[in-house]
Amino acid sequence: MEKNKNTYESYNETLEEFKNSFFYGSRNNLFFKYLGGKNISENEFTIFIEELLNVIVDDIDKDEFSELKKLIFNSQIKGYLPKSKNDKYTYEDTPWTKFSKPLKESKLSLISAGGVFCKDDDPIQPRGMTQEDAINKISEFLRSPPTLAEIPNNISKEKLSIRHPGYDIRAAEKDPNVVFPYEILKNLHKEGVFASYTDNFYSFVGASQQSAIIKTYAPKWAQMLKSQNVDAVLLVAA
Amino acid sequence: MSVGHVSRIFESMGISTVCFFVKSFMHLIEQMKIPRTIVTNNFVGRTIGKPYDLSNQTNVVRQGIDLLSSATIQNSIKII
Repeated sequence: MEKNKNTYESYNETLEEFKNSFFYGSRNNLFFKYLGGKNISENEFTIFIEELLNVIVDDIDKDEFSELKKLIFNSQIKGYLPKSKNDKYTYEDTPWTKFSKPLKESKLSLISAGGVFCKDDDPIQPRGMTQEDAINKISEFLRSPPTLAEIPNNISKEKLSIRHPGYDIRAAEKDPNVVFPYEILKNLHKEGVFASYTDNFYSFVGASQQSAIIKTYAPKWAQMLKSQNVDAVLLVAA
Repeated sequence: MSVGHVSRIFESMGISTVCFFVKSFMHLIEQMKIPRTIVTNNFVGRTIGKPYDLSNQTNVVRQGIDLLSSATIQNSIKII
């Protein structure tokens, strides 16, 4: 029988199940998914809940929420920090292209891993996949190569959409600049900070097959940008 | 992780990059030896700042562009 999380109906659920439900489970919450992940132990989870309740009361009395934000921010850092080192993508060297051209003569571009795209040009087939569908397909995304969305630099906010199975998109839906700072970049260009920018900006879903990015797609994207005489790219993780 | 890979490939192919990450992904920046990175004290999914916070968003992007030319050492990380 399906559990109804909106009632007080009692059912057997262990603390572990409750905790894990926040990570792509019955209570999936992409903002707090780290609480259900393996980097937070059951003990750490219970301590967090206890602290959360205490801090809420303190902040209510102060009528501001700085301590609450601090607690959640620090818990998020802990929740994303792996318990053990991942050797797979650990590198000793740093590839480096010296940026030697003056900014005032340079052409810039923007790529966001935040899953931004034009509403009338959905890069993923079949078109029209919702955020909920994407979340349900997180494993499929992680096994699939990335698709680069081309976004005209003069696009209006109303024509943008965001879909990403790995992070809470609510802030980006309100203001795409939080992961795709297209307006900010254009404002800085107007100020004269740099010379020009590409006709299109770009975005893809970062939760994609990493080996495909390394072997095929990032080299292809680099060639495409070089053909536009781009000097530097701003890359935004989501 | 994907942004780190794109950055490393772009740099190896002659394009300079500056990456923007939130502090929760600091371990990736160090692990992947990303060339130039701005790290923000924002929540995941709000890398550049809070919605409509034009002033702070502009500061973050401006500092990223500055880092392109000011970074003299590889794996330069600026926390703001």
